[in-house]
Amino acid sequence: MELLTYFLRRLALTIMVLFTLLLMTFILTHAISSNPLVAWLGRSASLHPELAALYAEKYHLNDPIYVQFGYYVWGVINGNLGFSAVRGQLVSAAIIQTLPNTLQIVFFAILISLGLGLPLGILSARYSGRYADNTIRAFYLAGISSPAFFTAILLMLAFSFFLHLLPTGGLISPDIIRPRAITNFPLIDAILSGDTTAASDELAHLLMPSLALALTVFGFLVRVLRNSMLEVMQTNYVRTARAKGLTENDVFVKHALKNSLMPVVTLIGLMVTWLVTSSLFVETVFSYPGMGQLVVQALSALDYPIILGATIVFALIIFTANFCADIVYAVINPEIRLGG
Amino acid sequence: MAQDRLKPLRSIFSSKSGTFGSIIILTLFGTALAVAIFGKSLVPYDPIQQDVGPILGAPSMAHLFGTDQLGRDVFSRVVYASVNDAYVSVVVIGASLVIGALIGSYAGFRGGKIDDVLMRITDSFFALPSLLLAMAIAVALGPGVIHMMYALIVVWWPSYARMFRAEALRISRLGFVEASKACGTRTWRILARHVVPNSLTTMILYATLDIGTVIIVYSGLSYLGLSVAPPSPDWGEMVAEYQSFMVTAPWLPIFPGLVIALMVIGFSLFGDGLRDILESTR
Repeated sequence: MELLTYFLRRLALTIMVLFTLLLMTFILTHAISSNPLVAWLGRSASLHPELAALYAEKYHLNDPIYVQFGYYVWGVINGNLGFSAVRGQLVSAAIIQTLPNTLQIVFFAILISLGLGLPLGILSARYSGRYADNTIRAFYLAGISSPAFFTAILLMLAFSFFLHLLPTGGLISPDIIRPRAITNFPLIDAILSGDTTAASDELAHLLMPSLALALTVFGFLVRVLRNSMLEVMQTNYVRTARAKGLTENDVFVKHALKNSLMPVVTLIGLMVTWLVTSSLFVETVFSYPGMGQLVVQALSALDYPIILGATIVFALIIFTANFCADIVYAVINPEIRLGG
Repeated sequence: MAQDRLKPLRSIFSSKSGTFGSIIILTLFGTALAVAIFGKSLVPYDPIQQDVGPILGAPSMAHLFGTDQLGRDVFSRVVYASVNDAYVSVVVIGASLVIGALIGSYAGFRGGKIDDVLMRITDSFFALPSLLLAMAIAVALGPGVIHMMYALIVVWWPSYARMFRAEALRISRLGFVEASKACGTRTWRILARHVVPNSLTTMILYATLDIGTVIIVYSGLSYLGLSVAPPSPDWGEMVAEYQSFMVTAPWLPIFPGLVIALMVIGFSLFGDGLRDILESTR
């Protein structure tokens, strides 16, 4: 019951913040921006005033800004994010095309960061202050300090141009036919249709973008896990465990690790924020057709409906991730519910 | 009192990572300062002058970082561009500190409705990655270093306001502030005399570390072409521009990228050193 209250309160807060956010981005892109009619229609806007009037009518451009906002919010609630005149397609359609691709690399990036971050964090704490700890620190500092686009370029140089191991970019090699869309997630589609050539090719294309993303965030995981473990190692029950005569490794795995994982849960929510941001750069470098690339293209084309729509979807992903992390955290840590 | 406050900053050199970090930061910011003072005469070649060397020339003694597709000296460009990053990061952090101190301290000290509104605003800002929001603002304002600074300040100050608020809450419960309130001292005077000065140490330490984050976000915006207009050099923009020559001249995108990473590593190391010291004094 207590958990339900916490859940509802958290949900209400999320909806409120999302609304404020919609308001902010909407006002920004509409009020300060140059005339969207010019961006959509080019010179035709001034040559054919009746066409411009039609467009203005259709997209409610003549209405006061709060009315436009009302239309927009109503549309968003109904899943309508507007129409991108630049791309000639619905914003929601453009997002449905690209979002699964981004989710794929974000998913693999989380897997890779956990695979790198957890063992390195444990090692770092186990040998804190010693050679291993310092080496790991240097490694993750280099990772979190490099801008995502730089990491991506270095990986591409290393794996594509020098080692010739992985493809330079894209979603799938041009000579391989994409399997029929079932779920819209290319890799899942390939697996579902039993097309192993396509699946392995797609996986090869996924690896570098995911690795580039993972390298920019796994350091936070190492740092948080290391500090959390070192803190737990100071507690009385760890001292008791040691006094009982357990080996240091047993103390680490059986007592310290489990209790050190709580901050990591919260961090995974935050990591999604970083991954989504970095996807803009990584996808651009690897010409990977995800939402990051969609946004970057929209930036240069002044395609506001896409920028707005993508911002909302990115925010939703980030909210969902943090929301889940908070709920999981509340479930495993009853203390938080009392304070809420 | 003043000496006590500066202690963590002075003992930074007692930690190895703190020393390394300080050296990197001082070198790069020193370079930026020198460029700001002496301008183009400091660098070996004019950063926007074409054909001072071969097209896509490899690094050599004459051209330390090689030359680009227009025969410009990359080393000169990288050094010359250091001004932008130093300037943007210091101004953004400085402005955020000032705005955060004003709004955050007041809200934390007074509480009530103002406090509620502030917290909701900062919640919204926290919910979205700063880069995306800065990007939306930057697009609306149009490209340019100054516009980029505005965009970054807009997304940066809320976290400072939040921290100043937390500090103000803590400080307003201390005895000497209570005493001051009981004496009938005006709010702004208590804020200026007690609340802000007492939160400043923590905030300045945090701000120092945060400069690295500003640099990384700024370089990202610059990479997306939202900052300087060509041919003026900027680190992020250079990586983006040179990326297409990656196969024939891999050093071109690597050098500017490496400098960004080095700068941020400097701040991370500095931060690690600082954290070690703060933890050992606690």
